[in-house]
Amino acid sequence: MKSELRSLNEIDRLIHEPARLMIVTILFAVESADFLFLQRETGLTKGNLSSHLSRLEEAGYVEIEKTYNGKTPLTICRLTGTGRKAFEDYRRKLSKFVESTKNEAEK
Amino acid sequence: MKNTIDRTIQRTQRYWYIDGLTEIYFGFISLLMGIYFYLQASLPQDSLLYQSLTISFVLIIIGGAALGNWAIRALKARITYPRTGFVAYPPRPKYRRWLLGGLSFLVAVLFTLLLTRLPKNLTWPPLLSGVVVGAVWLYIGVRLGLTRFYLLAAFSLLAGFLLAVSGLDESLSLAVFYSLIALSMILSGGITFAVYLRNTRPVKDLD
Repeated sequence: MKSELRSLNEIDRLIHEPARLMIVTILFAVESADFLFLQRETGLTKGNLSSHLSRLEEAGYVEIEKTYNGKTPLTICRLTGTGRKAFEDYRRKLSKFVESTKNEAEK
Repeated sequence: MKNTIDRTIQRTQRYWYIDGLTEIYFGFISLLMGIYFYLQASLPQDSLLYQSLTISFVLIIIGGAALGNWAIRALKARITYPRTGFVAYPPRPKYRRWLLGGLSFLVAVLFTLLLTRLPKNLTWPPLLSGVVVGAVWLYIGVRLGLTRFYLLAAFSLLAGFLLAVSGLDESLSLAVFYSLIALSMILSGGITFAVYLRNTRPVKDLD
């Protein structure tokens, strides 16, 4: 059990933060999404969402494109290849950990 | 049992159907199909009107189905995206498109074979159509966890079965079937759309 617990140390903490986990999970399911969609789905404030997106962008997990829809500014976000791989790794490690704790509990 | 991540992914995939526009659009395509089968049933087959209406309806139905994605996106750009945001879904992988094409071809072949071999005491086309349409709704319902698609699937199966035992001739029963399917889709989509409009407003200041 100790090794399973220690495996939690290897979890990507950037993705593991709840707000960023929501953002990355949503972007994983789509090709791209705009700021408004992310804000509504996550329930985060504009400032909070911007801050988390910036951190994900700095890490190379998210690409942010500022464009226009007619005269209205639009911010489009998408997961990079690195971001997708990081999320898949995160998910795999977390599933493995949860599975191992379930097996321990059943013993 | 789905975990939170799976549920979030499913919820995101479900967003395409949040406004009911897809059902409304394909409801109208279904209505055109109903009209087409009605014309088949009521006009003399050797008349010029029959020939020209048949050709134009087939083109409208095929064109309408093919342009569906583009037309629905255009509607969403005006109505949905300014209210609840824009999402682009990844294109289907090539193998899935081939699989879908292959499956559609197989269904069409099976349909044709079955129709020539099945006993004539039932009107089989609406029953088979009910099964196919019902299966499509059920698949979407299961994949996205949307209750209204289960209801549409059940309605489709029921309509197909009732029309199969109704004694109506093939073309007329298909006309009624597709008209009923159109009604169910337009109603389902319409209610969803009305609820969506009531619960959301365009956001002018997007960022």
